[in-house]
Amino acid sequence: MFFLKMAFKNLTRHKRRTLITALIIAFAILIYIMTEGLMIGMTEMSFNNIINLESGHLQVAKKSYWDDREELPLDNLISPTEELENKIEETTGFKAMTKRLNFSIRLNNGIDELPVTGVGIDPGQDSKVFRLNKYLVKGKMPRAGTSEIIMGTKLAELMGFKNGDYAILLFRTDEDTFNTIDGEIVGLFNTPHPSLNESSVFLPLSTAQSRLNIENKISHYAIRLTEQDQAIPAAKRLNSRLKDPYHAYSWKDAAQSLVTMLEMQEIETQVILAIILTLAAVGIINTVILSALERMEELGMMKALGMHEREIVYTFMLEAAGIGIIGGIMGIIMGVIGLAIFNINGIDMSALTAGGNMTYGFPLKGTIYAGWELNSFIFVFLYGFFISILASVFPALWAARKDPIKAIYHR
Amino acid sequence: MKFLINIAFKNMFRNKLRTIVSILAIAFAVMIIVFARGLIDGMIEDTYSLYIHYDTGHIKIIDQEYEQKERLLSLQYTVNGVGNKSLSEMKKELNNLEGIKMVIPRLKFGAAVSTEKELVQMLAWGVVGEKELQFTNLERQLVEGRMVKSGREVVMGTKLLAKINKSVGEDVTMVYTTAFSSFQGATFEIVGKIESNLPLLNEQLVFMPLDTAQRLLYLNNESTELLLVTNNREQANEYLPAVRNYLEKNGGADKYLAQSWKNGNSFIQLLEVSETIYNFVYLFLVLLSSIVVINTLVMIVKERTQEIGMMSALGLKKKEVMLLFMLEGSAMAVVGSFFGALAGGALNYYLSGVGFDYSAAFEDIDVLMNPIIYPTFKIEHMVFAFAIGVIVTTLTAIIPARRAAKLDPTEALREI
Amino acid sequence: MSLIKLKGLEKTYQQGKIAVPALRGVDLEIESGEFTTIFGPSGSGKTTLLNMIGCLDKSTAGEIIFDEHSINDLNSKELAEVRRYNLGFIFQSYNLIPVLTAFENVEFAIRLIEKHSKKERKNRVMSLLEEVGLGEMAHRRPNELSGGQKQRVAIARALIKEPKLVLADEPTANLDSETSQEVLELMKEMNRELNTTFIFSTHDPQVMDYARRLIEIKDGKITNDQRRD
Repeated sequence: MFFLKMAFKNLTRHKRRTLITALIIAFAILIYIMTEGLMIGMTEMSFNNIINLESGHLQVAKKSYWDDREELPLDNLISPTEELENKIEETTGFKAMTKRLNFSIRLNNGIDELPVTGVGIDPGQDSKVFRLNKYLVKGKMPRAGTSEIIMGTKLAELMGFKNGDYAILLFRTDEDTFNTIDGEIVGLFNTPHPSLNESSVFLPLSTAQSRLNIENKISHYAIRLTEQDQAIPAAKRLNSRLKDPYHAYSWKDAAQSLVTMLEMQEIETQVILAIILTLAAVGIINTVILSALERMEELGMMKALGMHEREIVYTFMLEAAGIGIIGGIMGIIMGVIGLAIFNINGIDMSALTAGGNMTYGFPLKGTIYAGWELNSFIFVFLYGFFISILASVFPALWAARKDPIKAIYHR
Repeated sequence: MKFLINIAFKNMFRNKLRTIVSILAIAFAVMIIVFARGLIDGMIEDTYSLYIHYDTGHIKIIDQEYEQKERLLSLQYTVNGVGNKSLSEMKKELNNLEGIKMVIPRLKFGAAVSTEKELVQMLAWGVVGEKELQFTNLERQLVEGRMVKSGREVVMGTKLLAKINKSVGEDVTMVYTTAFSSFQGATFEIVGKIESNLPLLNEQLVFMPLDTAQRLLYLNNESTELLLVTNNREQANEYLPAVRNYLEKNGGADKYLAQSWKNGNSFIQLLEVSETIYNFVYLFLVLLSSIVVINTLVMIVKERTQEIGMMSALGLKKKEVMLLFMLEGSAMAVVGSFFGALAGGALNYYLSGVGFDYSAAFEDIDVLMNPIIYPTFKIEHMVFAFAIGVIVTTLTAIIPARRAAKLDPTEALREI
Repeated sequence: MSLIKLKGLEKTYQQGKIAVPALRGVDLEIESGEFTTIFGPSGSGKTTLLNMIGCLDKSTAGEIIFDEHSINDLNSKELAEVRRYNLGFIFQSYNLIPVLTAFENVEFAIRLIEKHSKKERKNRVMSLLEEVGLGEMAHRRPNELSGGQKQRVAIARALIKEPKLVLADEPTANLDSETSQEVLELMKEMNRELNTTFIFSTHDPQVMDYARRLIEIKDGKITNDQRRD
């Protein structure tokens, strides 16, 4: 307790020095909180987009299909059975499910052709799992049994389509023959998921199935749960009940490449944090050395009075810890203010990309908001705190080992 | 001045440990700057050249309508000559313009190969093989066979070949839509294989001779774009007016768009903006490290109060006192920056051979970027970091130096 | 002709909220070539008076005329100029620059003047150091010299620019009596040879014996002023 008091008093000796050293730590924390907040915000929004528009909370597909799913194959499809559907419905937290069929099509406007993804949806069920209908800017959702289609406004613009126009969908059937659908565009959507806007065409499942000659097969079931957090345990539980070749995948599996990318980003943020904190550590070392040099005579006196080396080391370490705490608090306050400023207006994604249309691989667009996570605050605070203490050990030892007599007559 | 430098330099050794810590702080920041610049330069340089090679050239000429429809690989808006001159004449005359070293025509269209399982989509480029080899770095990436020359032959990437389950020497049938919207097919011999880190080359592109593509698509003497190559990419903007002037003179100004590579792609503009931003980041980093120097100098000033008093009693002006302390700060800055620059240089020299693998992060990003980044080792980075280290630290040393200059000589003398 | 003329000089220090008067109206004239001691108990205002004469501090009231010029209205830069060319200082605690050798410490004072060539400078510094008996020690640093030697270096530093006036604040306080006498002899010798005016403060009677004029100061006022020849 006595050392604590002394360390605190020592900190107030050079208030300015204490503050500006703490400032380095504060900046490290500020930068970390800001980038992390931005990443959390982008991640949450991206995940929401993926869940609400692409994958749902859970997907059930054949394992052999899942591995090739990006190629949009027509083999390894599921033939729906009551048994399978019952099993899915028994999942705890189950809310709704729908069938989907993804296949490769070439969209043709009579002049140009563009490869896009065709998605067969079950008009009655789809909006119970997905939110696509919320983003319709024109028209309506396609009705079952018709050749009605909807697409993104951006894709329609590119191909020169208007609502009400007919678009030719060219695709290869299961028997390797080419077939077409003359799709009537009955709706246009504009979602926050850019790739959906640019390269997906939605049509009734039954129409797609009959033209593809695949009877009632689908590529996967998409399931919505009552809670997003349940997805991963629910997938696990469902998997224990599903028989091969069926397999349940959570939205996190569906967003695997995004998750990998986020991990890389996280490493980068950590590296930047480490760089600035290393500078902070040098600052702390410097401060401890300077304090020790200034107090050489005092230290000599303390030793002469019988203070142990260890106790001197503690005093300096406590002093450094104090700097760490001050820096941590300043950094977190600045970070919170920074995030709040971010979130008052939100950040326009296009501002981050200098007006370009880039998304850095994130499935989101428009205005983004930063997120909060108490854990990352605690993490970065403790990180700064321990770095401060760690950095002080060697200079404190150095100071404590000085000969008391020499210390008194130093210089 | 000279004797002030002398004293400042000697003062540095008064408390070696303290000086060393300050020097270390600067050295660390400078080293990080050299490294970061090397890394970013490595990334940007590589990306610039990829964009120039596979997208924009130094100057790109396309039909104005084509800009919007590029993603469609439309064949309706081609470069097919200017005024009443044919494409061949246009190419020849463009090539004669000052500064234009090469004119490269490319005819881009969508194609597909049908396998047992699925229809594999690909991007077909009708090119003049010889010119591509000269302009790009394809030659190094051509791991098997040769580049296309003429007739029904194609070259494609390793991953694409694997996807369609073919190898060099075999024939492949490709389907495509002609300029008249008819769906047709043709068989080619695979004469070469490309292996590249770049997904575009490895899994999307198929090269074929330009004249073959023109014949198949019924686009005789037409291409979707012309890339102009100058001696130096930095000079592209200088030669651009002449190209535009040529188009205007021949009545092609309304039809065609001529763009320098710098404006050709929003990603390049983004990189240019971020380069500037990074320079501020470096500044910030040095500022943080100079906090250490400030702290040290503040203590030094306090310690030498009496000495400052004596010096001003001897007639040293305030300005000179200030200079003395700034010089001490900058002496530390010079030493720290020097070693920092050396360390950063050594780090880059080592890493330029090793590289960083970013493949996982770039998987879903549709930009031309080599997923393995090799930091560049350039003296320029070291000089830049050294300069920024010395200048910023010296400037921040003004703060404690002013404190020293402000000391009242009598006060200074009294304090013992 | 007087070198220094003080008219009704007053100086008050502000210590927190309390005004502490250090000088309360000092009138004094000092002629060129004098060898003068200012003495008095500590806190009497000796150092303040010396600082005033040395152009280190500004008065609260009254006038200082140095060499026919009033220095009341000079700014800090101009004061530094006056000190640089006309004044030499000797301090109780020597105040040598620890990183410079004896030679460099002395040289420092004339480098500020910049009117001598390098060679000339060297010769002057060396001959002066020899005169103060430190020819052998020229390249030692202060921490390799004894107290008396350090003060000799300080005297050489004060005299090197041939100032009109040398001020010494208790120059012998840190020296033993034998060394003190040597140092005082040296100062007196310089006073005779170069006709440099010396003013020094002390409370050591032995030192006072050397002075030709004794000025006593008490509570910020001159109480006694006597000449001996």
